[in-house]
Amino acid sequence: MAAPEQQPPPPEGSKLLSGLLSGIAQTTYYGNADITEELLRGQLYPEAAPEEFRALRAKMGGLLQSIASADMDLNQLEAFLTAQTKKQGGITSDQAAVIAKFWKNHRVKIHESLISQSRWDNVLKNMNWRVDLKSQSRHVDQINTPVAIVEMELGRNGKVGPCERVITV
Amino acid sequence: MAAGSAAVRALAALDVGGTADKISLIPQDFFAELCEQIIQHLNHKIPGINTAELCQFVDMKWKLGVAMSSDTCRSLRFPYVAVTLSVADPSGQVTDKSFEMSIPQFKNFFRQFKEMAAVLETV
Repeated sequence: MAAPEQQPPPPEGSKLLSGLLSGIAQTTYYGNADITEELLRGQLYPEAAPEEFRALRAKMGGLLQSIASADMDLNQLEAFLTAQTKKQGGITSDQAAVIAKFWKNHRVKIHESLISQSRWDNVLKNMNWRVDLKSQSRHVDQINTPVAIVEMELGRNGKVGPCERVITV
Repeated sequence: MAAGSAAVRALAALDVGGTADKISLIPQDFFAELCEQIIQHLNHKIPGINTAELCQFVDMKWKLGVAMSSDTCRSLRFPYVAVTLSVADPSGQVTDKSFEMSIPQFKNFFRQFKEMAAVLETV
């Protein structure tokens, strides 16, 4: 059985890996650009050489990407992680356990983020309405007609869109 | 109830075209909320509606779709409702406004229109 690549010290390994996965999720899925690779290395693996850390981050990021892209359920996840522990340059079973726990906690939020990234048409951001009563009008037949006025705010992801106001009867 | 009737009688003195009768049909808490909004508008706390910008509703088309896959996620499986509203601006020109809603957003959309319909019935 081939030895896995260099690992961080085991006792705190799980917590550190969990922190690394959180950091990766922050940039990749939650849009937090402040969590740089250098920041993560300094906070989690200050003793590790930059290339070593980069390789670890890339490996974990790649695994998370595969899991998120397939939106794996628990069965798929277990099969996938087990396969990863068996291959050369793969992961340890401790690491598999950390990744599994992380995915269980973050699956829904990461999936929502991926959905949001793929919605580039207008979405309905906000909607207000009121019902008016016309009590006087130049056109006699409109007197006392109830009218619903709807204000819809349409926009793209993260941008404030035009405010559409629509009147309906 | 007494305060409500007094208000209706006061309005009747100013009434043109039976407005007071209509107002007395509106659910009281809803009427109170409308008055509150008018007061806020008069106090410059909320914007009013510029009736010159209002568009007339002409038509609505919808479709239910499922986004299956994308470049960032192979397994999206995201159901959504896409709506296109045709509206006529004050000059009469018809334009289409399209937007998407997730299922929870659509349920809220539907619920708002149901409420509107209920109010339109009572007025």
